[in-house]
Amino acid sequence: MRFLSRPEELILLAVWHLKDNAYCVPIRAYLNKFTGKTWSFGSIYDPLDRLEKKGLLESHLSGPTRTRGGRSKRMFRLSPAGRLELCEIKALQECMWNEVTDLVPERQEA
Amino acid sequence: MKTCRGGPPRILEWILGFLHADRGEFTHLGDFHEGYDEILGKSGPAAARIWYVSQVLKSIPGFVRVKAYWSVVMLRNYTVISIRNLIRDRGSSLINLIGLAVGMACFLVILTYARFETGYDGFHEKADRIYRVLSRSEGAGSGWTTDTSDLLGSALSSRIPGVVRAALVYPAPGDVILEFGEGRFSQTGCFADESFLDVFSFPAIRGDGRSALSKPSSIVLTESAARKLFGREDPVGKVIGRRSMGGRRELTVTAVLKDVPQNSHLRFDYLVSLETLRAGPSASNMFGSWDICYFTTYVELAPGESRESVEALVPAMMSRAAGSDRDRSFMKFFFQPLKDIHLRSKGISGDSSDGDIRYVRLFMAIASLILLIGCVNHVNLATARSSVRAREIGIRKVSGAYRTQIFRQFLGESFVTAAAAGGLALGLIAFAVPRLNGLFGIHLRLRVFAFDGLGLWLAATVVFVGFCAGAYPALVLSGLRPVVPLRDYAPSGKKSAFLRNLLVVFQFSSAVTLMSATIVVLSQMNYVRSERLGYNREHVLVVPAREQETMQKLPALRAAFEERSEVVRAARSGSLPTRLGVRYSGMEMAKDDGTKVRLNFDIGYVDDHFLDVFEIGLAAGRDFRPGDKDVVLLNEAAVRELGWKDPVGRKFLGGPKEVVGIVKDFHYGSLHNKIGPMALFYDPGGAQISVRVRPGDLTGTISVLRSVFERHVHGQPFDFYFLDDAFNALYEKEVKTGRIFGAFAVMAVLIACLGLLGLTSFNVSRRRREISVRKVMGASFSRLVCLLNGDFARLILLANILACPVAYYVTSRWLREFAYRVPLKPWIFLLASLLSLAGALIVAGWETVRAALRNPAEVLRHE
Repeated sequence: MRFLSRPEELILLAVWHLKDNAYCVPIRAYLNKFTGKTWSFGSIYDPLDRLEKKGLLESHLSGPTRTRGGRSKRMFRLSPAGRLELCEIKALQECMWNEVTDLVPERQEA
Repeated sequence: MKTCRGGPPRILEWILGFLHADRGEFTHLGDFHEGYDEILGKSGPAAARIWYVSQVLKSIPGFVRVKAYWSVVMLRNYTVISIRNLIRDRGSSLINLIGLAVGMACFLVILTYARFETGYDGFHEKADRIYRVLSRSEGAGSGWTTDTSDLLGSALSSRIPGVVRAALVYPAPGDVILEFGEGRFSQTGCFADESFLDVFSFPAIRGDGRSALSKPSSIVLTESAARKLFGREDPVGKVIGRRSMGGRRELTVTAVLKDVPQNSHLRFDYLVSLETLRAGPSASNMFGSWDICYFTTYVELAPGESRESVEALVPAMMSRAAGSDRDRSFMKFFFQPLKDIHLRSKGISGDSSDGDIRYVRLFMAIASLILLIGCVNHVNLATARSSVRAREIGIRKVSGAYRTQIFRQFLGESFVTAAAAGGLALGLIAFAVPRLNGLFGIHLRLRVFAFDGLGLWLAATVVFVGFCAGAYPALVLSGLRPVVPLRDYAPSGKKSAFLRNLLVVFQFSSAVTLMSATIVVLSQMNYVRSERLGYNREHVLVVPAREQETMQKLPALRAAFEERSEVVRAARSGSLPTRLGVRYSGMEMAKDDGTKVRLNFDIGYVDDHFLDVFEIGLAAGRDFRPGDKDVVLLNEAAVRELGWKDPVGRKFLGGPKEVVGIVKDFHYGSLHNKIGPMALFYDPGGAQISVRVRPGDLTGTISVLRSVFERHVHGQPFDFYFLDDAFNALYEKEVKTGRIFGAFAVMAVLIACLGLLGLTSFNVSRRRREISVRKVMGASFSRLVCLLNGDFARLILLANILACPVAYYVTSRWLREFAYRVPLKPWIFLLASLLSLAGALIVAGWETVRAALRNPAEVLRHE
């Protein structure tokens, strides 16, 4: 298993979640919704490219649509390796988090 | 603003698309489009636009990074490929490089020379406002002269508002001796008035330059003259002696100037204040009359004042000239810009500058031609090689290269070649210039790193050559369709072959034109020197008197010379046929039919032996006799202009001088000018003795003359020169010019031949298999050579046919500027053609013969 950066991991999750509608704009919207922060397009393109290069994602061009100035979308999908990766991450994290039972934020002194 | 299509403004989208060249698709743009629309819906167009702009700005760093990365990758690839190609065609690459380098070196050297010539007198701060006043009288045979009266300067500066001040210069004739203590040096110099140093920028390093020339008996030295006389001492305030024909005078040094720059038309080792002359004994003969013209006048105009408007005021001033009893408006004046003096003074009498704009232009033309010929080599070789590179280009294109990329690749290669050639050229220049300076007697200085110096021009030339030589091949190569080279091994490239042929024709026609021009220039120069002068310049020694004591001994010395058996005749005169003397301009004289003409007379001062010594013939009348008074000899040209039927016995200029004889025309001065009206005055008091000696043992004769001289004269060392040398000095510049011209013409031919060599060797190597097969099938050696050479021979023949009329036209136009010119004969052009043909055949023949002699088995073995 490879170690991924946090954004990569989140993006991989988003792609899995979005299934057939996984391209940059919904991915960004999904991430914005969960993290509560505004992700720039650039901060999504780079991890996407990297993940594709690592073989965890596959991509293809969709046909052009009218809504976006007639431009096609680059659609992403998890590759088998990506799927495996996500499973391993999930397993690892669950495994490690199970050890953590009494973690709470420190109380701030007033 | 509402756009019907929605989405961000087009221009921003276009910029973003340019910066985000994502895999050649535009999915990113689509994403940004959606993002824009979303913000548009939520917070309005302004926010959306701001967001979009910020996206554009943010994508710049990435863009730069990507560009840089890929350009490095591609550059590495290009470099590798071009180095491989260079190594594969070592021979032709080297030829190409050498041709370009030599061409660039020639171009830069000539450019430096031309810039030196055209930069004359540019160092004066007020160079644009200083003019030299030329004068001319209305009438036949009157040309412009620099000689003006001393009254002109003061009249101009006081009566014409645009003239700030005027400077007067009187060039002291010949060398004089300056002495201080034991030191005596022969130096040349001028008399100049006090405003001279205000008008011109000759900075003083010691003393006060402003007032240095205001008092009588002041002298200003240049740095090197001061060093000779005084060593390291401060000369200001010291008194030195100046010995000249007028005797010895004591002068006080008032200032030391920096040495006169190389590119100044005014040359002097010292300046004496004009007041000295005014206070001297001969002042009344030189000053105060409009008829006596000894001085060169320079004027400085007020800033912003135009020459024309000032010149227009002069006639009115001259009609009521101060100090004159009559209307002087027949005297015309022209303000010659200071910077024009060096190059545009041909035919102005009294001018000593040896520059000539015609030669500068000629040289620049040659230089550009040579450079072009070098570029053509590059173009030809590059397009010829295209068949080899075609597959590479095909692969590149199939792998997705844009045409502009390939264009840039080849242009880049061309720039690299040009830069390498530039480096080589720099080496060549550094090597050649000191030698050229010696050979041609010019003073070029190399300033590679000066801003306006060689470096900048070199860079400009490299860029120019890189572009000129690279653009066409790059265009052709990048335009190749990938299918063609990948399918067939060699594309036919008919179009580029045609262009190649055209360029070869161009090269050789220019080479032939240059060569014919060289032959014409050289033969014109020979012609000028061998033209019948009308006097005999050989075997004449001239012994000048440098000071007054010697002058007094001259009669006895002349007689003593004549007593010797080695001497044929000796004459004492102020004038020599190479340098006559003063010019009387605008002399009004009456013709036979009563009409009046204005003539300019060149006047010589000679004694009764002069005609014998120089073997000048008499057409009518008699020679001078000892004791003659008020007699004059005219030349035939003068009689022709005057239209006198029976000139002997008539009064010259209305008397008192009487014409006693007519001499046959002889060329006094330079052969550039036609023989004009001339008069010889009888004057047995000249300052030099001309001795015609018997041919034979010259060294013996000279030592005899020396011993005679030393017996009579003490104080002045015996020095002499041959008239022949003085004559040659008149044409020194021409001889040098001819040499330079010839050298560069040869260069042009060599570079053209180099190109041809490269082309043939390339062609031969491409056709090696064909030749072998032909040979195997029974082709004879001579047929093979004919086959291989036929194309080029035809081209060069065509080039010759084209070049001859051009060469004829160009050279005949050039010759038109000479008063006496060599006739243009067909053999000149024939010779040039034959030479070029021979050169080309030798060059091309060498390669083809080698190829034809090869054993076909060696070549075909590898198949």
